Amino acid sequence: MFMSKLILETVNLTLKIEDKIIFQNINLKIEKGTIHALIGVNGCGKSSIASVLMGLKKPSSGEILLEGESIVDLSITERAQKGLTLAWQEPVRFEGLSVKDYLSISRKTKNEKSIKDALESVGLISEKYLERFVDDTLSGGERKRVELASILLMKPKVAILDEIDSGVDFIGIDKVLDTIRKIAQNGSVLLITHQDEFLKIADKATLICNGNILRTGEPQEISKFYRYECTYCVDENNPDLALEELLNVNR
Amino acid sequence: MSIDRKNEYEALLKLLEKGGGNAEEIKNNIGANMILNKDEVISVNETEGIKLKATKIPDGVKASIIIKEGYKETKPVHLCFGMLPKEGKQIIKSEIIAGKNSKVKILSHCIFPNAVHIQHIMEGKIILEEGAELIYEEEHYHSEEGLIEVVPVQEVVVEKNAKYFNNFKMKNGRAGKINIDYLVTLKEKAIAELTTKIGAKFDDEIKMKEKIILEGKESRGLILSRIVLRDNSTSEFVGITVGKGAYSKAHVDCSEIVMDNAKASAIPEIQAFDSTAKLTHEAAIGRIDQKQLCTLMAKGLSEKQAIEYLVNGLLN
Repeated sequence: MFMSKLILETVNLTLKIEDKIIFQNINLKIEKGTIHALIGVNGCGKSSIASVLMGLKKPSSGEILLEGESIVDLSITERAQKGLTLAWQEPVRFEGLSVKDYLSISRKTKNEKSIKDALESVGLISEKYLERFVDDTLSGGERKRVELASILLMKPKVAILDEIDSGVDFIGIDKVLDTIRKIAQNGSVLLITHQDEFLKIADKATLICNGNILRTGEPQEISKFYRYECTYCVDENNPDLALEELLNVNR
Repeated sequence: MSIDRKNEYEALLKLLEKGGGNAEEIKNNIGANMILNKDEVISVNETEGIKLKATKIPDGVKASIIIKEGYKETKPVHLCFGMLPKEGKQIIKSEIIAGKNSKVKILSHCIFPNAVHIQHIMEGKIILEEGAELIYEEEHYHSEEGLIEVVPVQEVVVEKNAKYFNNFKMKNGRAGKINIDYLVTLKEKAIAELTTKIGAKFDDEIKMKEKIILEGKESRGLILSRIVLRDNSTSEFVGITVGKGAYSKAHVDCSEIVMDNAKASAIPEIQAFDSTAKLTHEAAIGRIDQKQLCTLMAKGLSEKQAIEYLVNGLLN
């Protein structure tokens, strides 16, 4: 029997809000056990794709397949229960909820040690953080790491990590990279990032420009193209026309 | 202790324990405590530095708590003000004096497990002498369905360098009608923090008026309220800070979560009578934060479970 390598696939996924196209015809193929990076300039549609994948927004058209099954009509909870999860670009603050309680939500076992291990994995000393609250008293970088620990505990089939790297100090970055690799050992990761260090751990990368996929391929090549060759997608004078030209070149 | 009183004593402590309170400390007389059922004084236990006195008045009890100068106690003073009957009225007139440089925590457990129609009036006068520190926590344990009217009124004077922390919390059951009226006056470099957390449901009515007058220079005040309203419940919050002292500073932070057909109003009021006083406020009324909700749902919780987590976090 043929076993597909794909864990998450989108088919012509499109989101329009009123008349504005946020993204269109997105065909992503995420393979099992891989880290797939999603790159592109601010506002190109990366986070909107993440939101639609998780069910926070409904797509205008297109399909989302998790292990070959459509999840496009499922709620956020149902998608999570099937093994999909998302870490926001801006982690949310929770007044009165301790780090321990927050991580307990994601914990699959009753073993408290796993919570401590997850915190240590992202470089946070458990004794120092377990009783703290997931609110303003934690910095943005600390909240990101708590969120990543929470995702690690969930053992998801697919984790969408939206700029999990931003705000994390240089000491913590290595821990964050290691944790992402650990998550990918049990599942797959869709990694939205702007940083080269994070692209290095990716198996594949997709470049998004003005809501369209420009290229998918080997991360370093995509990054090089994005940084040094692709001037079209940032043409402020006429982005739509420039993009159309580029899409024609790539077709 | 008569058999009736012993039974009442045990019943109240059992209910306190059931609600998550620490009854063991009372049973073992660790620290000072006072237990009242309606207008009956069930038991009083004093310690070296804490003098307690309770006298019967019509429909209630007059209680006096005097903390000796310099006395510092790590174990809390337990005040257990309950009513086991379904109906009736309980008036507690209390006077608390925290002596100079003393440091004590008072846990006031208000237990009304069978309330169908009960009125509970707490009239408190509190004085914190110079350098004293007092934490006053009022925890309410009500019946699930009954209607109880709670009227906590406090007048507090916080002398120079003294610190007063007041926490009002609904631990169990239905809030009913709550009408809080606090007035705190702060002298030089005194500090006061008033924190109120209430979850309301059915047709509960919450009214709160909390006022801090910053009379002394460099005094500090905080009024923080968290109210979660469901069904047809209503709330009216008024938080007032008055800056009179030089370099006095205060903040009002009020947040109300409104669900179903509930209604809320919040009025933070700040009055400055000194150009160096700094008074700020923030008030938010709205539904549950959708981003918080979605984050928890993305971990596999249902919407209902996620709301419970958020509400519990906010109120506990």
